[in-house]
Amino acid sequence: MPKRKLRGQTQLEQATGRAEMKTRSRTDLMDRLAQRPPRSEEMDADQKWSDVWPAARTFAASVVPLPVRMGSRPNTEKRAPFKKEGNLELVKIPNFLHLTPAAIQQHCEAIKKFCTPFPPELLNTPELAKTELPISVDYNTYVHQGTNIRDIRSRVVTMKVQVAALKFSEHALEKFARLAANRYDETTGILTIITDRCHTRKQNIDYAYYLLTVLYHEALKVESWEKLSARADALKVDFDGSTTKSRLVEIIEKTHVDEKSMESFGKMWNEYRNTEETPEKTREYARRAKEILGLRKAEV
Amino acid sequence: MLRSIQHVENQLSQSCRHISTTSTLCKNRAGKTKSTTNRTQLLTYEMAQKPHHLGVRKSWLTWHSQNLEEFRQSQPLVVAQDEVVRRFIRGFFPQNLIVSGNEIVIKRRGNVLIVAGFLQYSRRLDIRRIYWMFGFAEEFLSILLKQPVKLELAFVESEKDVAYNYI
Amino acid sequence: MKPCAELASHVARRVAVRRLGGVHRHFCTEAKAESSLSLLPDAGTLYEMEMPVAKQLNMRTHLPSSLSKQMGTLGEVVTLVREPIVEVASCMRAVNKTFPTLRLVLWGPFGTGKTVTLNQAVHHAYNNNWAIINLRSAMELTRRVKEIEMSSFVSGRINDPSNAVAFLQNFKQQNQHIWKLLGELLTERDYEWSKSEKTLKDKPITEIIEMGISAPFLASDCVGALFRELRRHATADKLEVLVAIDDANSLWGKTLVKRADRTYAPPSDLTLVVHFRRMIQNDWMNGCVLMVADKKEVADARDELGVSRYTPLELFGEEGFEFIEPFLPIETTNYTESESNAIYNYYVKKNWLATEAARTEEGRKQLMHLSAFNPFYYERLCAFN
Repeated sequence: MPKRKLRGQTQLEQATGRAEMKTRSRTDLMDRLAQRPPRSEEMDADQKWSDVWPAARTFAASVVPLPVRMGSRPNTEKRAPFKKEGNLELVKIPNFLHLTPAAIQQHCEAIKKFCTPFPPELLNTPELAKTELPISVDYNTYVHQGTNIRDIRSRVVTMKVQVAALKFSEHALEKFARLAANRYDETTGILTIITDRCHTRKQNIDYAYYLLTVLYHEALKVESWEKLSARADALKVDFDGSTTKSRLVEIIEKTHVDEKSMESFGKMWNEYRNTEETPEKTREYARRAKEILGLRKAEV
Repeated sequence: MLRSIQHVENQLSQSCRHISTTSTLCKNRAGKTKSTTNRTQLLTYEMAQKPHHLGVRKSWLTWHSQNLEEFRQSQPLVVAQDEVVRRFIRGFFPQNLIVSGNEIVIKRRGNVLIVAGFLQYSRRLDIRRIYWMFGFAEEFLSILLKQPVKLELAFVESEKDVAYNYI
Repeated sequence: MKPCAELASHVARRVAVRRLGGVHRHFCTEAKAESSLSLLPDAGTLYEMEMPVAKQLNMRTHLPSSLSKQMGTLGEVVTLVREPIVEVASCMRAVNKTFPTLRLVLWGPFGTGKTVTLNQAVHHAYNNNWAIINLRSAMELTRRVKEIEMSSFVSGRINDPSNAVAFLQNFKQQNQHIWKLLGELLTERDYEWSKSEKTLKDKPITEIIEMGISAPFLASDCVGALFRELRRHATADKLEVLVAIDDANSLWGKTLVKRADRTYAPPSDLTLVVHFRRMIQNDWMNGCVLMVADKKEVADARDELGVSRYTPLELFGEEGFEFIEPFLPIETTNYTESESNAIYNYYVKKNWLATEAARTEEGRKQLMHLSAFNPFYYERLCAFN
C-alpha cells in the first residue's frame, strides 16, 4: 500500500481546511524573498532614524517610510504626481535624510569631548578681539570632486595686524606707514600682508611673520639722514607753512578776522587736503572760504 | 519574348529620377517619441519631458562641478568617465536594463563616484548572482577610474513600474 | 537830499540782498552805489541776451554746442538764472580796488551748467561795463597748438601764434563796449617787440592789440603786455576786469606740444599759459577771476572702468590748487523740479517740443525723470521729442 493520501481525502481536507501544508525547500524561500514587502512597512514609528540612514545615500524608496510624490503632471487634479517607487527624479536630487536635527545633535555630542569652550569674554564684548588678539592669519583649504586633492590657491596666506597693538611713537608710525605703503590702511589701523611667495602654506605664514618683524624693527630705527626731510617730503600737507596761509594772512591783514576762524579754516583745510575729496567736503570748503574771505551770507 | 521586352520598357519609363522642388521642413525631432494607435509605447518620466524642460521639470542625470571656471582642464576627463561608466553598466547588466540604460544617475561625492538608478528583473533574480555582479562592477570601475565607485542601483519589478505615461 | 539818497541806496541794497540771498561784505566801508550795477533777475527765471549783444560777445563759439545750435534755430539766447550765477554776480559786486582779485571756481558734475554760468557772467560783466578776458577753453592752449615758435623774449618758452591772434581778435570783439575807455588807458613803458616794431610809452593799449593781430609772431608777447597793462590799470581803479577761463584746470594739465628733443613740454613752458596764470594770481586788485574746473582734462576715453572726480583739488592737481588758493568754489547742480518746469514751459511756448506726447503733463514728468534732472540730458531729450 503506498504511503500517500487518496485524492478524495486530500480534497476533503483542503476543503475543510484541515490540510497540513508541507514546508517546501529552496524555491519556497525564493518565492518568499521575491514577494517580501518593502522595509518601510516594517519600521517602527519611534525608531532611531539615524540608525536607518547613517550616511549620505541616494534615495531608496523602500527604505524611506514617507509617502512622497515627485514629478509634474499636466493636470494634477486628474492624476497625481509620480509615485516614489521607480521615481528617477527623487534619485537624482541630493537628499539630506542623513542630517536630521537628531542626527546632527548626535554628531555634536560625539565631537563635544574634543572641544574647549569659547571664551565668554569674547562673546560678551567682541571688541576685545582687537586688543587681545591683534594678529589674525587667514588661509583657505579647497576640496574637489575627483581624484586630485591639490589646489594652488591653498597656499595663499592673509595676515591682518592691528597696528595699535605695536605701540609706536608718532615718528615710528609714520616710518612704518611709509615702509608698508598701501598695505597699511590708516583709517582702520590694520596692516594687511598677503603672501603666496613660497610653495607651502607653512612657509608663507613664516614669511608673513618675518615681514612683520622686519617692519617693526625698521620703523623703530632712526637714521641720520632723516633729519634732512623737507616740507615736500611729508606724507600729508599741513596748513601752517603753506602758501595758502601766507596769502590768506596778507589778505586778512586788511580786515580784522579773529584767530579762531583762521584756526578752524586751517583744520578744515588739513582735512580737505589729506583725506579723500568728496563733493560734501568741497561744499564745506566753500562755506569756510566764504567766511574767511569776508563774503558771508547776509544775516537775513 | 515580345511581352517581356514590353514589360521591361514600361518599367524603364516608370523608374526615372525625380527632383524635389519643395523646401525641406527641418522639424525639431529632439525628445519626441512616436505615439502608437493602441497606446502601448511606454514613456518614463525622462522620456515624457521635452529637452527644454531640463532644469525646470527634469533634473540632470550627471552631477559634477567641472563646469565651473576653475575646473576647465578636468572637465573633459569627467565627461569621459561618465561615458565609460554608462557603457559598462549597459554592457554588464544586459537583461536588467530599463529603456536601454537611460535610467542611470551618476553622482560624485568628494572622491567617490556613485552610480544610482533603476534596473529591472522580469524573472525571479538570483540574489547572490546580483551581489557578485555588483561587487565585480564596483571593483572593476574603481580600478579603471582610479577612484572609489559605489553602485546604489535599485531594482524594480518591470518596466511598467517606471512608466509615467503610455502614448 | 544826499543823506536820503544814501539811505535809499542802502535800503535798496538790503532789499536786493534779501531778494537774491546775496553777499554782504562785513568790512566794507564804501559800498558801491546800486545804480551803477544792474541786477540779475531772480533765481529760477529765464534771462534773455539780445542777439546783437550775443553776437558781439561771440556767444556762438563760447556756449556749449547744443545751446549754440539752439541759438541759431530759435534766434535768441535764453538761459535760466540759477544759484551759481546769482552767487557769481554777488561776488562780482563785492570786487573793489582795496581787495585783491577774487578767484571763483565753478565745479560740478557733467552737464550741470558750468560753461553756461560762465557765459552768463560774461554777459553780466558786459552789462556793467567791465573789461572781459574770455578764453573759450584752456585746453586749446595746451592741446590744440597748430604751430609753435620758440620765444625770442625768454629762451625756452614756446609761442603759439595762431591761438594768440585768435584770442586777441576775440578780446577786441568782446570789448567793443569799452573800446573808447581802453583807448584812454596808456602804456607804462616802451615795448620793443622786435628790432623794427615797438610801441612807445604813453600810447593807448589798443595799439598793442592791433599790433598783435597784425603780426602773428609777436602776438603771444602782445597778449602778455596787454595783460600787464590791464592789471596795472585795474589796480589803479580805472576799470574792473572779469577774467573768465573755461576748462581752467588744463593750465596745469597735459600738453601735446613737443619740444625739439621729442618730449612733451610742460604747460609752464608755453607763453600763453604763463600769461594766463599771471592773470589768475591775486597780486592785482579790482578784478574777478572766474574759472571752470572741467573733467575733460583728466577723463580718459579708453578707461572703461574708472570714473574721474569733478572736485577742484582732483582736477587742478596739487600745483594748480596751491596756485589758485585762496578761492571760492561754487557748485553747479542738477535741476530742481521748478527749474525744469521753467525750461519746459519755455520750450512749449517756442514750439520746440515736436511731439504731442511731450506737451502733456505725463510727458513733462517723463522728460524730467528720464533725464534724471540733468540739464544737458534734459535739453537733448527735449530736442528729440
